[in-house]
Amino acid sequence: MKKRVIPLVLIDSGGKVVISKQFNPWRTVGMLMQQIRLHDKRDADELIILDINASSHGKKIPERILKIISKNIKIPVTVGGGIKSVEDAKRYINLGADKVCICSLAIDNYIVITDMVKSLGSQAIVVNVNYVWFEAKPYLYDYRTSAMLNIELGEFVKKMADCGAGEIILTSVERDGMQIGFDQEILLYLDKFKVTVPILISGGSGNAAHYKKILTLNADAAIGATIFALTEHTPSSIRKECEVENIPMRQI
Amino acid sequence: MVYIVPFDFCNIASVCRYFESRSIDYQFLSKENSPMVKVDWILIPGVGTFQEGMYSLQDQGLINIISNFVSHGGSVVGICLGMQLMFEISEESPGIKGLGLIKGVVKRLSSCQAKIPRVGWDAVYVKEIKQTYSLFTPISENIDLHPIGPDFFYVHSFYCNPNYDKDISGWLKHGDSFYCASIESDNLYGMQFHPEKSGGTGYKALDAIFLAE
Repeated sequence: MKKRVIPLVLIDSGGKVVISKQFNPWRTVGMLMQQIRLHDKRDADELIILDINASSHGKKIPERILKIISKNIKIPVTVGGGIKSVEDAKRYINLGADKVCICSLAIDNYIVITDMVKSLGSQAIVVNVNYVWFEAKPYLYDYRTSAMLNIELGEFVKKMADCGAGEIILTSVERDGMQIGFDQEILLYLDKFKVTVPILISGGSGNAAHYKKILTLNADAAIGATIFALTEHTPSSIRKECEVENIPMRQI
Repeated sequence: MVYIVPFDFCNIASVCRYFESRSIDYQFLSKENSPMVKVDWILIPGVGTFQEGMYSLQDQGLINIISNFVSHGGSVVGICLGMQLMFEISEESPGIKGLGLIKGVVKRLSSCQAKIPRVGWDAVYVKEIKQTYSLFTPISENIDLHPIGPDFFYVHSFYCNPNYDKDISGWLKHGDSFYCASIESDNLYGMQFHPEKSGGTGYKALDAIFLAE
């Protein structure tokens, strides 16, 4: 499989697209439809769209927003935010998502993931794990309460993979929006746990060299938000740079 | 008219979007429909499990419609799970019978060779230039397998293993081994990758089927 470069689109209320720093949204960068079309045209490998308010407000992503997504894109889309049950996941997928992204539910009631896998298949279920480092170990972070949890990342990721999650996103809260580079340590740490599902790394990218570094390691994809909103880099310009380093990238 | 099999557990919107972009008429297949051989198409999309797919076809009363259509020479296109359902059985759901339109079984990819599920962009390999109409235009006459150039998007943990190699029109590479990526068998077409999700490259592959003539 080729390595992937994936833009992340964070939506706030009403389809506004925002970027965040260490999980605090600080700037609106456009509207959803315009952002999706841009990424589609710029040959992103995939797109991840997360509603940052849905779970904390106990809401679902409205049908109108899901339709905007499906009508404007011909690459794979992962959608997350507010998913609490198998029915929610089915609804998102039926209205235009290719995969659903589970985050809060994985913390609250991960057993539901097993049921989702049964009816939707592993490949449709992505688990996003937000984490922070504490005393040289990564721990889960619950963005709803802005609190670190007493759950170590490695064991949790292993459990998610055992439940049948098809892909795992590791999001570094500390690096989010900082443009200082991806967390390479987390991959070295995770090696010990022998996880066999694809691992996607998120948080911290600011230039093409950051992608080269992380994709040379055991990451299957690297995810960026701020970089695509605030710099001239595009997924295809990053892919070109990675190819120079002989990293296998998608051919168009 | 393209009759799309409606599954409530997978993303049908992206398939519809292709037909809308090409102004090709489509509607969802129901047991009241009788698609016309040589005029209409049936498209089986799909992401999901083999069992869920077959149960849904059964519940909607579509198994006989599809089988009769094919036995009279009707053309069917299967995408991902849709292609797998055209086979006889799958290791994913033991004891569940597939549509059996193509002789062969669906098997699990080995996780020793590379990561499972197999998600992302990768090549389709082809063997030779076919005399008859083919989904893809190979880049050389060499008998070895060649990537056709642009990559396609794959999401799967299982692969189709037809009894007859002649049914395979394209291969995919998993670890160091090659497996079936697409099939072309008389009036049946199947793709393991997602042409509706593979950008302009994927739309071209669909054009080769639906806009051919």
